[in-house]
Amino acid sequence: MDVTLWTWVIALAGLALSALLGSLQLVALLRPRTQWTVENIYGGSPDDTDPKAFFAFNQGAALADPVFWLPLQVASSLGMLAGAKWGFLLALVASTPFWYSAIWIYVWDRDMGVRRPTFTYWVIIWGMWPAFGVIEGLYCFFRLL
Amino acid sequence: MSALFPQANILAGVLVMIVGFGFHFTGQLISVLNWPLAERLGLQEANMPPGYRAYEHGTAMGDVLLGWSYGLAAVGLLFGADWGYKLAVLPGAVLVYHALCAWFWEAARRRAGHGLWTNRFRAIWCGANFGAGILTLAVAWTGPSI
Repeated sequence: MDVTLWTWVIALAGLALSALLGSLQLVALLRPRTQWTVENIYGGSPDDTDPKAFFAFNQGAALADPVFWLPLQVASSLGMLAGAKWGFLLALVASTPFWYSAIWIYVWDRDMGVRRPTFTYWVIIWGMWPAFGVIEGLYCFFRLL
Repeated sequence: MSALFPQANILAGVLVMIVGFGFHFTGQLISVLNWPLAERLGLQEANMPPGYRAYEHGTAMGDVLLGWSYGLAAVGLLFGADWGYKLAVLPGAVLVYHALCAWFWEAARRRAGHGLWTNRFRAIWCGANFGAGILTLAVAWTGPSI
């Protein structure tokens, strides 16, 4: 398949976001209960809800992402850059958790009062993930038709 | 690309309709609209500690907002439509991701002393999601225009 400027942009953005998320989840796995992890990765505070539930759900995602989502996104970005059809199909698969998980986090953050009316929260912490997922998904879907 | 096996799209379509549209969309829609009813029907654990509810509610919303498309994908697969194979990637990816998250969530809950599922239920639920998801992704992978 043709590798266009858009292919490069999406594949490299996918790699960058995977590297960022992978690094954060690695810290969450290695140091699951430190103050830095709670403030910068999970968001909110375990004291705002049941601490056991807080850590259980955040640790569940920290384990699932490196097992499934991140390898998929890395492989798909490399496949897209190689012009392979499987790369676009894998990217379509990998795009889904970006916005599926954003829905949970939208509700969790609302219900637990984590949201802040700031650019950092709405764009960096929450918005860029589903936005990338939607763009990647639509791009790959139409390239594969 | 050649089909995975004869009628693979039919099997994947039926599984997506039952596991994806039936349990994830319909079950979670009931949870979002009427949580006590979902508990009475066994769709949500009645013994769930209150602190878990925000997380389960978020997951239910995610399934409802996305899950309607599983029914569409299942119909597309059942009819062997080209778009159905592409759309089936959504439930395929979510079912696998959900199976892994659910498995690890329960593991973390048990470590915290709050296990909610029996071993049998955990194996059946996560296994059904994982199996249906992998099969759906494999069928999508071997779709007519791939």
